[in-house]
Amino acid sequence: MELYFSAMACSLASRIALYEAGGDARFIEVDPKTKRTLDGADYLKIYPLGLVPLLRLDDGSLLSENAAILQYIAARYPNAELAQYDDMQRAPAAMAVFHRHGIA
Amino acid sequence: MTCSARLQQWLCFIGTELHKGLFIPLFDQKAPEGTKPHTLVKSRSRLDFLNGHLTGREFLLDRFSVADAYLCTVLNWTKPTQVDLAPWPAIRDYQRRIAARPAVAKAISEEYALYEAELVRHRAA
Repeated sequence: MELYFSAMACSLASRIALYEAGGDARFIEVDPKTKRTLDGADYLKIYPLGLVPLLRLDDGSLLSENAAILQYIAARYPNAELAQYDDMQRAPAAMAVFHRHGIA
Repeated sequence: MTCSARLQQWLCFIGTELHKGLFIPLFDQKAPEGTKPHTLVKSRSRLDFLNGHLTGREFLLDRFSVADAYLCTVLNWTKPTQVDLAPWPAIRDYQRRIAARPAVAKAISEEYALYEAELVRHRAA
């Protein structure tokens, strides 16, 4: 697994998730200005939008979008319980908060 | 509603309301004049809502989750964008608490060193 990241960008969340899970990945730094990896590759050829994070999975395919990558990491390391959910019985109370804020 | 909906809710909230809604316009050096004050005013309701949720809670969900990894990452950006969290003490306390977790502190300190190296690289270019 390879994680394309830029320093202190939103890809930091994936590094945090991996460290919390005790997981491992090869971290490949992308310069946000030049859009080149620090080992010299043209990142726009890897991912035309030039955005991080981007995860290269073990089968070679690419997964983009922070929320998707974070859930992938959580699912890959289930013992770390990084996607533990609220008790759904509390959902009505949560929805009341939403209504009070005029969000739903 | 499936169990993962609650996690999805927070990941979407952080991604759309905070990451793209609040911080990206503040980081955008080419944003038209007036964008930043407008963004800050518009984001107050989002920060009020988040502050209310975090009041009396340790994490977004029942325990540390990837949503906390994402939220503490975007809250790091309050410093460079000069967003003052003083009106939202539950968010400010949450940020300090999460940043103190060993895995989070390690990730932040490693990436901050890389960020400083990036600045040096750009100045030299």
